[in-house]
Amino acid sequence: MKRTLPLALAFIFGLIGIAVQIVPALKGFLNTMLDWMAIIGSFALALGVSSLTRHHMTKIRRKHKDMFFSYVTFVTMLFMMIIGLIGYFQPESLYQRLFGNMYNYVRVPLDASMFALLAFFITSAAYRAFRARTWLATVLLVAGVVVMMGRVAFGPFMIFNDITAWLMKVPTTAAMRGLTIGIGLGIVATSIKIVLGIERSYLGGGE
Amino acid sequence: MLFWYTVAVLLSLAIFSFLWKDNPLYKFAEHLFVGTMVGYTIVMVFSQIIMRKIVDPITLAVHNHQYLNLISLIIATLIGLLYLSRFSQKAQWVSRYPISITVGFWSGYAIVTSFKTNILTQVRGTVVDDMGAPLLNGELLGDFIKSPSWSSLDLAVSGPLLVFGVIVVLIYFFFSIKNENPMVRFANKPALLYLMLGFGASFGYTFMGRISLFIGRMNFIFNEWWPLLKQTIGG
Repeated sequence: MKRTLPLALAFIFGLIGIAVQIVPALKGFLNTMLDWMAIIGSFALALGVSSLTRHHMTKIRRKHKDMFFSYVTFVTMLFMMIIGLIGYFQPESLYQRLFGNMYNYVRVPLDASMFALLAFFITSAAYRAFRARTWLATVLLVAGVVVMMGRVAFGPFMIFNDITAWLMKVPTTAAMRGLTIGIGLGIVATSIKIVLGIERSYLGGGE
Repeated sequence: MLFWYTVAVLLSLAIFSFLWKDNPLYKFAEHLFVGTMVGYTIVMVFSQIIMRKIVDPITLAVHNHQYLNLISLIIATLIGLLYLSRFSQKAQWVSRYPISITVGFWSGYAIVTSFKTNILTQVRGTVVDDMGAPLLNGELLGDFIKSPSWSSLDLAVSGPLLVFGVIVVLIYFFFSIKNENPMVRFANKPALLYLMLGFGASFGYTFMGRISLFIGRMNFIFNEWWPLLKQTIGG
């Protein structure tokens, strides 16, 4: 009941996952199954939110030096949630506009800035990794620099743009295609192991 | 509008302040980001799944007497609710049911999709190009010999180089343990060359993507927010 039934369910639903794609008579059933998975998966959000809440509540209870920031997370989460939910039931209202503005002028700039910040960190990481100690590291360095130049090429430097296009079209495609085929075989093998109940780590420990 | 633009600018600057060192402004922006993301996700799950895929269809099914559909939706919802058993020490094993259903279904689903997209499509792309022409085409080499030019050279060698690259990279990965087979040993160096060119180019591409995001933020500050601020203050 505690382990056998979940394994049986994984096997049955694994077969359904295959059948809805390859058996023409069952293709109409695919959307129902995708809806099922969306519905079931949506409840997992409660676990994520509770885990985040527990983490920050612990910080607040222990009067951690950064507990102010835990309040920031809580207040923003609740604020976003409340205005979003009220806005859902009152379309075109102030709440929905506020939710839209919070998304466009708080979430989007934070997201973009966070990823832009990575440019500086991958530069310092690249400096350490790309030092031309071997011929292979030199190739890595040269390819990286050529593509960077190629992305902003102008005038006589347009040659870098052509080299970049070729690098992306031939060696990069070849390398990534080799990797993709390997990844694909890995996914298929692991999925088969899960469906057959050989791989069980997703059930967690315990009885 | 100036208020929201200013909020966006201040938050962007707070994030970039991390370049100096970890500081309270950055931490504030970071926690604000987490809070807005989680709040936004809750609202999206509620509006797109709870309402659109559970409440509305159940209401419609009851109204139209579609009881089979109704039972299907109720069963899915009940299975989803089993996730909440994680909150109970005694009954948390029950949450294995929704987990195994989800993992099982997506594993089965991935067997077909991964086989199609990651293996068959990639192998096909290594045999023929997008137009269906073979990549190993001797005629293109003949064309290059007849009328040598950069474009005919590109056409003649790109296909064979791509095929060769995929084969050596695959050999390199599948026989990564020490192997004395001459074929495997031969593939080692060219495979590394392809991989380094690929990784270097991917790095350059990713780096420039991040830089363009940074330029986008600076563009917003200097070309949108600053003129708006000047216009507002200047009256």
